[in-house]
Amino acid sequence: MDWAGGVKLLFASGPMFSLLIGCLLGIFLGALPGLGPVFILTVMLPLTIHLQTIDALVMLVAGYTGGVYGGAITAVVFNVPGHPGNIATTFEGPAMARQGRAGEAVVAIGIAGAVGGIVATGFLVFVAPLILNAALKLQPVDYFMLAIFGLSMVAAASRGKVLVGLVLGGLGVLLSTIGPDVITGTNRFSFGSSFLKSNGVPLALVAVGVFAIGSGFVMMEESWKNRTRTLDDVRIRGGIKQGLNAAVSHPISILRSSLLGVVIGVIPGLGVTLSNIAAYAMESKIGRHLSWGTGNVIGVMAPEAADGATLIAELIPAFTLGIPGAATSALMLEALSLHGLTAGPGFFQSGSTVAAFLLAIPLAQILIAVLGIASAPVVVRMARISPQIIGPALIVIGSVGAYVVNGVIADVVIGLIFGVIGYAIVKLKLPLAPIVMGTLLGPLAEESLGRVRILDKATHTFAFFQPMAMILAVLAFIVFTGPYFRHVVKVKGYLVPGARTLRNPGVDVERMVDDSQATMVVEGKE
Amino acid sequence: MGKPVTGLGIELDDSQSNKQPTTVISVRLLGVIFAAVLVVILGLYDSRISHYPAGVTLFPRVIGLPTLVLAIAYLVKELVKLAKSTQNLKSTAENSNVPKVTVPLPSHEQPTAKESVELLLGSRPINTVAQTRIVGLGLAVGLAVLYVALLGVVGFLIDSIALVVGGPLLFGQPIRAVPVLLVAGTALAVILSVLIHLSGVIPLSTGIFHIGVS
Repeated sequence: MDWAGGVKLLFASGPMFSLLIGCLLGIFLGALPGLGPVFILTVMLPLTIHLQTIDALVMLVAGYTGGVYGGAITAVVFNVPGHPGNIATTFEGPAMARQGRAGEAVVAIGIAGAVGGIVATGFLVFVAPLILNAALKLQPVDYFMLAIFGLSMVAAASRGKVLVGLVLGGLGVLLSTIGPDVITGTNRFSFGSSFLKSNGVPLALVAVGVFAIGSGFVMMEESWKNRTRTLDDVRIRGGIKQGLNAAVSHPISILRSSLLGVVIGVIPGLGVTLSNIAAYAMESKIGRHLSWGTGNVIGVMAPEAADGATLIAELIPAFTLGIPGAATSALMLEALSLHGLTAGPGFFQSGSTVAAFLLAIPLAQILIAVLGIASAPVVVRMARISPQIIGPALIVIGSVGAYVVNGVIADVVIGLIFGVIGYAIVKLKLPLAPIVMGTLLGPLAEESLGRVRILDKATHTFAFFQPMAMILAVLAFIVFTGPYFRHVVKVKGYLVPGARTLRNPGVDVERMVDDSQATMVVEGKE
Repeated sequence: MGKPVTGLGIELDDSQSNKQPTTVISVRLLGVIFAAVLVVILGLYDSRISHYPAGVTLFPRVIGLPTLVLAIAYLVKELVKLAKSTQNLKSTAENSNVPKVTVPLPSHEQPTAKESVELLLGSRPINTVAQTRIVGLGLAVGLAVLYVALLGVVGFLIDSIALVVGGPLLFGQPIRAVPVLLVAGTALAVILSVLIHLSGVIPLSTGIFHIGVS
């Protein structure tokens, strides 16, 4: 990889400006309740289409990782997690704020998140080549089974809703088949629409509709039902020294949580909702002699370190194998595609652009921590904006984002249709990710299957009997059927009764988890 | 210590849910409608498969037909849930020891012109069916008049107005909130338009959504 070229490319004015804008947008948008990394990526993706490749990638990665930090600040100050990835931060953060230690928490979180991101970047740089070596040996049938496996993981992670997860994933895959066939170019399923004939249904439109416009509809409706929203008047002052001390005093906790975040990140379908709570659970179990729930600074650092690591680690399978494990990595893959890059070995041979991108990730983490700490008082004010304003604004932003994809009005119409679908999915507490993941994985699966057929015809063999494909098929089967056999193999755990009652009476954890479509691992004790 | 659970870890306790039976019914109904829509969409998709050469429909066949079957299973599951919820609601009502209270029907008396204006402006609370109808009708007409009046005049602004005003009104936001939403949404739309214009994607003169541009 051309690291020298990467440094030169990154430290030019364009990427640096993009980095700064991305960090600020991420932190501020992340502070708005309900808007997490996926939303931020969804909104930013269309707006970066016409930027230089490196500018766009840097801005996107800074934006979505910054979003987690913005949400963590409001989790500490207002007991309102910006998104499900910040749930565990509310277990200790608000207690710290009540003790006048909000500044300390914000600083400690910034440092922990940055460390998590940097650790995961290390894995991305050093582990990716190993995976790539293995990826070079993969056959088309293996890629097909990988795509199926990826979909199965996402469907399985739809807590108790595997059936509908599969239906939505299948629908996403079928949406990707609208338009030209990936191998022959023959048009299909366009229903007479010239727009569908030439463009199909772009993933960006599905994402903008489902995540941004759908969220706008939900927010408007719910703001009407819950008209009053009071937030404490908490001020963030000082705490820099204490926050630094906290981070320096607990390096093992931060590193341990970061590693846990990396592991969770590389497994498709888990994501930050799991990692932040799992990290809190792990640290509270290891440090059971400590006091928890009363403002323990480890309890805010561990979840955020895990979040930071998970968000970057999700890129490892995405960038090496083209199999995204979460909606964020799916959108990053789409960003690569929009800029003419493809995941896999080719991506890591793209020279200075990839080197600059990999260098930008740790730089973004540090910048997010610095900017986040400096702008925390402003971020706190952002969180006070009424959902009655945010909801319509989301629809406007989403519609503009949809329009930018192809520059035609049909984009907006399709975006709005998916907005309605997204609204229904959220209202029914169904998983949102499968439809987006299906739309992304569909072309990969179809192209691989097409190649398998061509190879099979030429060699008169049946490729599905190859060992790797068989292993992946068995794994996919286990993942599919696993939820139905949970009672057979019991894993001991501890239930936080509703989580909200024990740790945090103010946060509707159940609702947030349902919204995040992830299976949770929660450990706690009464 | 809480109860042990399985799989990837611990699931939150569903017994925390404390929903009204009628809310459950409406959610179940929405679930049935959603599942039915999915079945229709997938059915339409699958019905088109035979219109295209077999070479380009292998993958759609492999995925499409099983997905349709799963969607039908999901629809059946939702219907069963709805039936159970309805049954539970009935049996709860029948077994309830709480004496039944007859709620008087809301008044259908038409409000006066002055009352209608007050209702539309939000200065008078909505209490009756007739008042609700007046407000809904008023907002719909107001939106339509606004839209037609500005059509073709301001390009992208009309689109912002339609989105920012139309959306809240459709979702029952109070009319008093509209000016704030209008200013915020339009300002946002202008900023975004300028940003997009600067990035060279869209010339500003054509507006964002092309609605109202001759």
